[in-house]
Amino acid sequence: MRASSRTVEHVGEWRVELKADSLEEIFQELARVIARAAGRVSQSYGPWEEIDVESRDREGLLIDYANELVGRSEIERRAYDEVRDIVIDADAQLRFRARVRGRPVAAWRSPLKAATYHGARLEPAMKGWRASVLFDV
Amino acid sequence: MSTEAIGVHRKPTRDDLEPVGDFAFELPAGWREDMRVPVRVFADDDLLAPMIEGDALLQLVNVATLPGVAERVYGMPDMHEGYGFPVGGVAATRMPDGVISPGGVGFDINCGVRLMALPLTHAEVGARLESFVHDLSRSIPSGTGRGGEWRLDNAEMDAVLKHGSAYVVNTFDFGTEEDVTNTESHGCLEGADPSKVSVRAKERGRGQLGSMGSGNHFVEVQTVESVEDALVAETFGLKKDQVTVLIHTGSRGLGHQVCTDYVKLMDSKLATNRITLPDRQLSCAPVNSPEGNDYLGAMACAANYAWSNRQRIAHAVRSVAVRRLGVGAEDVRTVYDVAHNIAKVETYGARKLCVHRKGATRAFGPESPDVPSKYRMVGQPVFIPGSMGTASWVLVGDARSARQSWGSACHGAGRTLSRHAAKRQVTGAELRHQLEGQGIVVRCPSNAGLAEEAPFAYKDVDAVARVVESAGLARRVARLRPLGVIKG
Repeated sequence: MRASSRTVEHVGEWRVELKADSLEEIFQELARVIARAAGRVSQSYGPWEEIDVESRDREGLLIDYANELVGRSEIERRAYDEVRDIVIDADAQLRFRARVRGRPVAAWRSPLKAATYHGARLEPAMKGWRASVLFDV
Repeated sequence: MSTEAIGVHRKPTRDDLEPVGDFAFELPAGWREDMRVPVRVFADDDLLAPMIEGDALLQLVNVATLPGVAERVYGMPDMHEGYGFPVGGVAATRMPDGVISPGGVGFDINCGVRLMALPLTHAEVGARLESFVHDLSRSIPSGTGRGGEWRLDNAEMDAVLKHGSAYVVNTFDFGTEEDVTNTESHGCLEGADPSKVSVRAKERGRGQLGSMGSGNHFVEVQTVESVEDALVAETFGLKKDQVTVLIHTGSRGLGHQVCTDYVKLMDSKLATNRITLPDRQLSCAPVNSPEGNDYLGAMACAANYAWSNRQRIAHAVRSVAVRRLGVGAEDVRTVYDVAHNIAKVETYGARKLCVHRKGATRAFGPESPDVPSKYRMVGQPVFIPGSMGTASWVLVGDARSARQSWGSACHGAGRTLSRHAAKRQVTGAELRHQLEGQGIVVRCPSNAGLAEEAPFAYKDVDAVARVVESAGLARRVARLRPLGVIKG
């Protein structure tokens, strides 16, 4: 299955549901969701950057990772749509490490202010994994 | 009734609510086992229905479980679903052992509105309206993530965070002493500690002071269409047909990052603090804990940044009015500036409480020492902005609000449709055409952003204002009609 995402209605904010074959691909797809919201990008990628996030559980890790990308993107004006060399703590899944790289965004238009814990989900599905993230917009 | 029997996530129904007078409904504390206090919503039947159908009322029930929550939690007439706290939710917690919840303040800390009054009528502005609105749109940076020309250095950033509006007025001449006087808390929350604001938060805010942002933020040129209370309107310096400018924005990326940082921190300490919550986004800590205290210091910084932001925009409005309309700078007055997303330490009788207002505004009545002396005889100005193309209301705080709602009223009309649903019903181009057909000058670079804020996506602001008055939270003073809208 190809990793995918779709918008779910919310009165005030923006909820996204994601599906993928693996946990790693969920994180990669979420990066693409955040990057697509940022606006039109140039072709040339910036350097690879380290990302290292810790949280008390799986859902928290996904949300904290999303917030790391949202904050870093806004400051650097980059759409981080490539995520590689993912290492997720195998025992408790409390730590996420990877390399990310992004492309400059000419006219920044991301409405994403932050990801919230409200109703966050990250769980195995019949096939692969699924997740749900509510963004403050 | 046990939590198991009722189910933690079961939504309240209309039958669960007991009417309290004509414009309030209450859910008793025993409705769910983990509730510590009752829930009261100010609404009529029409406004109540979407609160029940969506998750807004359920979210307010969750707020009623917070440790140390005092007496009752309140839902304003514009309440709608948010995350953790509903938008339009008010809760007070006991000091010093109750909790402070960053989610009860929201990501856009001190999102708020400032009303400015011009010394001209609509007729006197006449054909210059379009150039006035256009110049405002050129002078006030808008759009997501966008800032202005001003990049704060470290010393300037810390001074803004520590001292708020007075710093940008006194140091850079971006306004007047009266602007500061006519701002809630004089544009500066005490206890601001810039060392509690992360480097990332400061970086996100460094280039954004004096900018509007996007979403539902706007600058609107209006005219006073009708006056309901002449004495109070005169006290506020408002009269029929006068032109006003309403500024709606907040603490931009800096505030969002402060909230993100402290929700994560408090989430990680829930077990240590022995706090169990029905929704993680309500993450909180005792006010007197290290993380609670640190958040108060950081939140005050973000609040001061927001007041400075609106102050800088007000300066731009004043400059454009001088340039385009030929008025004196001293004649463009700040009527008042209020916060919508904030937690404040307030005293009610012998009780010192931490009042969380998430999408709600303070509405103190006459004689309150926290109201500027020139307004103290009547009460503080309260603003209920409508959506684009619809009216906004100026109200005055009612003394009864102190007993009824922790001195609070609502902050807007309240959404009823999602942004996507709004875009399915109208395109930005169509909406722009409709608004222009009503004589409203529109400046918005994004058609999609325009459609998301379509008037029909919001509740009827007149109905909301009527319920606010009928419930004894604030009284209607003047109705404002839009002439020009600038959105990011």
